[in-house]
Amino acid sequence: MQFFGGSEISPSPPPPTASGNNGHMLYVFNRNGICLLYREWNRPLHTLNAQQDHKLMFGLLFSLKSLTAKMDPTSAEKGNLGVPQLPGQGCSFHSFRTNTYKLSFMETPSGIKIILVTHPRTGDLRDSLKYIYNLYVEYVVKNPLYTPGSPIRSELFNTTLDQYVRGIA
Amino acid sequence: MVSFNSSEFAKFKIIKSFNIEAATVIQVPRWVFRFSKRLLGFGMAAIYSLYIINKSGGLIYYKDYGSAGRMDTNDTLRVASLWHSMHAISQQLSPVSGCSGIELLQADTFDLHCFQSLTGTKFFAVCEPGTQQIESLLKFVYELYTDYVLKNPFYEIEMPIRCELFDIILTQSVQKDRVALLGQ
Repeated sequence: MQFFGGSEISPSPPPPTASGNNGHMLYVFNRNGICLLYREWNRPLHTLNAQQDHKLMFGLLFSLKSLTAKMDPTSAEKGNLGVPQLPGQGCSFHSFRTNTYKLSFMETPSGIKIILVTHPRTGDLRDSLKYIYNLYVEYVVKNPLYTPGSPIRSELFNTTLDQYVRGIA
Repeated sequence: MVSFNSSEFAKFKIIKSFNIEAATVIQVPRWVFRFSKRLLGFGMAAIYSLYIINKSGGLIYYKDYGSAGRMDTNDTLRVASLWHSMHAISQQLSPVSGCSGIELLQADTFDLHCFQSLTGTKFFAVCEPGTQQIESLLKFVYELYTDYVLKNPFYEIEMPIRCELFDIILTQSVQKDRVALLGQ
């Protein structure tokens, strides 16, 4: 289990790991693979339409997670490849890097997946993702008008998020 | 890159034609040790396993260096082709053009470093989190691959690698690092 130790929430945002406007985009998925939120700050290249892009992203994360669960060199009992796993079960991953971008990934116990795509030279963003999850809890989950599982339409959440991501990456 | 001098190549031919127990004949060239030392200087940590996949995603070489719960052959094949697809999908999702696929995957208990050669052959190693110098090790493995596999006249391209010299030199250069690590 890689979930947050204890119930403490970080009240202040973690210090920035890079300066400048390096955030590309952010996805929030729920556990059924529905894209709750998609924010885009700097994305010159669009290869697919939005819906296909979200599907492909969720599929990539799902498959990478089953790959890391199967590959885990520290545990002997790994089960079969491709068997769906509960959030927090099996070895997961927190980021991958290509020559053009870095993708940071976090899954919460309730199966919410937060994905932040940044410049490849960005540092460790695990704390930042926890902070973004915090924002999600504060601005979305605690909003009485929000129906769980529906796309997020909160102006306040979006502006806070934009501001925060501009600050970290 | 190294080239075989005539005596080395002669040994190579003898082994291939008479199937002599390779370890008794082969002397590992000096530069292999030099390279291992260079890696040791940076404090290289453990590698769990090494994969080579061809340009269509088929596993052509797999070596396990002691991970818990070894995978069977079918699983390694599946994992290799899954990695091939994930590598391709990651290129499609890039926000900017010119993406050449995943280079480093950081999981909770391991790091996966991947190196893709110009011809599309992928070399990837599973190692302890935070291990440095794996990129240079993968490039070194690529160098060994070009020298000991591709220059082997009996090797069929894109097919599983069964070359004794390659096996021996690879094992020696990786194992030396592990032995040094255990001694620390």
